[in-house]
Amino acid sequence: MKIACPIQNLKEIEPLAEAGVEEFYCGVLHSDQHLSHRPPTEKFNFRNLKELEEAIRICHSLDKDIWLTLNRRHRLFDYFPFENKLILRNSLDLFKLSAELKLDGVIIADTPLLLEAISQRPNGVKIAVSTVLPTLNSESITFFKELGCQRTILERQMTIREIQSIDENIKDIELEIFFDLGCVYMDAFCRLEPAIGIKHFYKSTKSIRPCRFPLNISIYQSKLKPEKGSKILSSLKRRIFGVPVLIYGLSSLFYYTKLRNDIIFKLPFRGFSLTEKLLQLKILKSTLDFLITERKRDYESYFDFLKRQGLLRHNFEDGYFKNKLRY
Amino acid sequence: MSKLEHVIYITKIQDFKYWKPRFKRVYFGNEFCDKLIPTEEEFKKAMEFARNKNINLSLLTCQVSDFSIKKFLPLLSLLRKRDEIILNDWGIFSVLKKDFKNLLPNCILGKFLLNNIGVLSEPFQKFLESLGLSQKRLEAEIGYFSSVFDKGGMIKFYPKFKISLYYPYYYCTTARFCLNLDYGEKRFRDPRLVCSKPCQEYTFVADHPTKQGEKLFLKGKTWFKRQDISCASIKQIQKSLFNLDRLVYMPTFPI
Repeated sequence: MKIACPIQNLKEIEPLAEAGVEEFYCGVLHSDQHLSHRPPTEKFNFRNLKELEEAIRICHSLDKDIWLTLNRRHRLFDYFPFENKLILRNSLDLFKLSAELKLDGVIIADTPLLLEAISQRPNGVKIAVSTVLPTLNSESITFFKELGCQRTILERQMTIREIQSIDENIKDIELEIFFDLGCVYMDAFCRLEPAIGIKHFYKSTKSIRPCRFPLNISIYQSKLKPEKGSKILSSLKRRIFGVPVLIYGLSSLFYYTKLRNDIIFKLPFRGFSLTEKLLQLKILKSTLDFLITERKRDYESYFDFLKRQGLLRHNFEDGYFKNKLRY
Repeated sequence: MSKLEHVIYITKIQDFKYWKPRFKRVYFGNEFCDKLIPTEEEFKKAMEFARNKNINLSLLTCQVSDFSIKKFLPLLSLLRKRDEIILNDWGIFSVLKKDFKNLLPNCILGKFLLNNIGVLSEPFQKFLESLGLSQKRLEAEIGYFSSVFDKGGMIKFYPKFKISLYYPYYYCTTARFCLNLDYGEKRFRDPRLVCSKPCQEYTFVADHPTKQGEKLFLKGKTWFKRQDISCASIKQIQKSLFNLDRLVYMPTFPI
């Protein structure tokens, strides 16, 4: 099992590699275009191609792979056709540079870009289907595999059963799973920003997302008795915008370690500080080590381990975790 | 100006009561939840209705898992030559390519496969043709552009394609896990279990965080907004969007 971690500056690479990361992924600011699925700022990306080149050199000197994200999610009718063509062309130009830069792989979300990349793929550069071009079933993964992709990054909101089914049915393609999750809504199809009319504001450390605005929710139509309706409403209010789902994370690791050996766990902490990444990595590593080395890997022992480590922080996770493992 | 085809968007059999003679086509199925994929019985009833009224049928598909993709197999075997399929998952396309090649020419890429910028580029169109698909139509929701009166937004830049315009509901965001279910519930996690469909029992509404008077609706796992258009507006829209030839009306929330 590998751990993949995002990087956005050169100083992070060595400490993260030492802490157990086997693969890195990153974005880069290029041609003034927004080409990856994170805001086009230095907080989330390398500043230019020179920095990226240097990062590649460092990663390879440490015998680690590095992937580039070209996985910007596009909405057809939000751009003029000439803008669309420009974004495609710039993404493709950057992709073509990937061989010169000696990148190990590229993560793509746009189907037409994927096709162009596959047809022009330089030797040695792998192509991964991004989580933002969701492949939720074995048939769609097979479709992209037959086109020429070597890896698929599974959608964050897949259940354990669904992932297990894909693991059983699909061979000859690498699977990557996100560890931990921030939002209950599907990344690939979220149109909240244009619908609400509030742009995701990001500058240095500040980030205001339209989905984090508190909403005054009430029942609009109901076939239920009022008391049941209000009970459901209060339950719903706990899980609306911005509330983490905790589907991934520690409660799911118990199952993921039973999947294929070459599964890749992806840390989603792009834009986080090095300290935060190292902390999350430490938790993930220690938990993985426990699950892999302990012979008696059942619910009780895993739960006790997490309790001893102080990792069951929320009652919610505790209750959910117990239910999940029984199932 | 193309002749306008009026279409009604139906997700449940009981909603056929909203059909009127002006609707010459029905979009039937569900685009947002694989637990609401119609059963074979329901689909047969829909086909019978379409046959009796002598109208065309388009099957709506959604994002599917390994467990729910099988639900489409009996429906696909019932489709006729003139019926369409609105594709929203490449997995379903893969199944069509293997077992239902005769239905490929009737496929249209739905809204969830149209979130790619290059989807209308020539190389991609050629790729679709090599697969047996020919994308001649764009499925657009009314909320896709800021104002239909504003010279048709971006759609006017795609003259080669016919446009289907969905109204009055358009989705803002959607999840895979139903927000109506409690996380502790087994049915929340096990895709094999039959859902009790709490989304059919209630709809939630929220005030827009900044714009007074505007609402957001939560039905099942999807947030919607609503933009009504009148008959006069339709004529104006057609003048702006000369390639609009299909109006898809949703009498209720499309869940």
